[in-house]
Amino acid sequence: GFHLTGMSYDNTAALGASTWRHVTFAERPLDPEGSAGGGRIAWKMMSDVCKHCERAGCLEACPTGAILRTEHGSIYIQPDVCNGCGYCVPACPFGVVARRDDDGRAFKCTLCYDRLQGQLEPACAKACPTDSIQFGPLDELRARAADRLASLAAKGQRVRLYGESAAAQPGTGGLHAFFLLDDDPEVYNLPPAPVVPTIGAGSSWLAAAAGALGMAAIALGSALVARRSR
Amino acid sequence: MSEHPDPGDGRHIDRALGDLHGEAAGIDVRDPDTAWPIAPGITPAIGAPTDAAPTTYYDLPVVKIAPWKAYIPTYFAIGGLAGAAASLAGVLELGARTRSTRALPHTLHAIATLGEAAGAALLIADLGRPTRFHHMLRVFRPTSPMNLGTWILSAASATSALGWLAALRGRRSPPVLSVAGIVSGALLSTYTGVLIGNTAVPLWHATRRAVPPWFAALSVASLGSTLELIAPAHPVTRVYSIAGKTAQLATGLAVASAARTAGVDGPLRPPRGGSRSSALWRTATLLGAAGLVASLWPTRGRRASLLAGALGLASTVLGRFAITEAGRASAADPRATFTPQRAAARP
Repeated sequence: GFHLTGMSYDNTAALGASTWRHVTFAERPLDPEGSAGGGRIAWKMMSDVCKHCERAGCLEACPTGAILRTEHGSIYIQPDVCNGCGYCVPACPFGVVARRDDDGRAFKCTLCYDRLQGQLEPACAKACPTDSIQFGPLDELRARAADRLASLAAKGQRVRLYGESAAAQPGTGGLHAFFLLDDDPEVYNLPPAPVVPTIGAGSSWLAAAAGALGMAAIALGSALVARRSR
Repeated sequence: MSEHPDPGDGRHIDRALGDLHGEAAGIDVRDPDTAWPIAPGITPAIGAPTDAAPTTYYDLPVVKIAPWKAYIPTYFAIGGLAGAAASLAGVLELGARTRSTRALPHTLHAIATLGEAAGAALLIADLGRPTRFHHMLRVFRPTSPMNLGTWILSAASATSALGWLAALRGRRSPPVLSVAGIVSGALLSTYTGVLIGNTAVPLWHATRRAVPPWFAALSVASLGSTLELIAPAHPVTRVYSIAGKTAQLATGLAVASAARTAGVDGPLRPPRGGSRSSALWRTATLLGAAGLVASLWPTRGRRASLLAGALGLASTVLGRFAITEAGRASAADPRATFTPQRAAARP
């Protein structure tokens, strides 16, 4: 059989500080291991990018306020403000942002903010020859996606939308860059149920308050015991 | 021949033909071939072959490791110690009536102030653009534990410095300053636990309720151990140290238990062969237990206190590095992200 590594096409392996859009390429065996099916392999491709989440983990984590939401609904890291603390990097549930070691700052897809200011569509949508990458108002895209899903499902294909709405993906509030997939999200290195880390921070802070009270209590108790022993 | 020489950053852009504008133009590219390392030096802590979620993308990570260097777990240790010192100083000061009883708070204020200053230096050193460190105070953002932590560190540094200054002049600290020291110090020791829990790293996020109290206990235990080294005869030292070390063991068990319940405790308890994070975790736990036994030992003497203090201090520092390293291993393992999410999605 073949030694599948994915490296035949995908040599960037992931999104990062320079690979703002990268194509996941999964060689997916269609037949179970050891079956007589002849070892058929399907090529699954998905053009991955920053999801520009409705509730963005990177934005909520950024301590300098460098990361903001633009007037176009995209998430943008201001390169003149970012001081390279790197906290946005583990805060992204999709592993999108990265910090460059040589530059020091964090970078990710900007949804071509400069092109949007010039009323142009992002470069990736412009370049895509099959019009797989589409750009437009979100409600229009959602309608198009629903139509495409219905027509593919009618042909018997196992397809699903990923992150198309807050109802579908409550952990992120829905994605501004969502996907039509024909397999499980894990095949494309997408988390099945991503959650912005800040959801659930309340109980963490409460636990910190409890810890703080415990520290003060131990200090007080020790002081009282010490006084009695004098 | 171009009048605009190649800037030599590997992008080979002839400035006569193409101009650099836009978001990517300003990036300082010195090493284009290693623009982003996938998982530097990490072997993902992949679970046993009978994992419930067999599908991954060639075992490549899905979330990213925090790009922090050793400065950060060192800051956890030093900042925690400083916060505990500030808290204990405030408590002792509120009840201190004579000059002799103000001696220990004086020392604690010094420890706190110097620790907070060292902590700030460590944080600045870890930044990608250290000269922009003041950008941390541009905003007040409650959603970001790192932003709140910067404000907490600033407040704690100010109160500790004022407390130390008052002590150096032989004056009593006003009660409001002591209370401010207690609060800011305790927050300084615990907010870092919230900080690592507020990430997509599976093990950190799963233990986000257990780690802040554990960090508080580590801070108390580290201060108690320090007191065993520098002030073993003081009446506060023994009970404070024993309480802290006991709390450290109890809350440490809670952290491991929370990780186990979420199914992400692989980095803490790997299969045979070990891993760096589990070795650190095991060693920190054993040293912590040994330090507690040494503190409890009935025969008191200078050597016994030194041993108890050294064991305790080593265990608290190793504990900080253990949880940081465990987070790196957890982020590098795609199954740690996929399996719990898939299990939660299943009805």
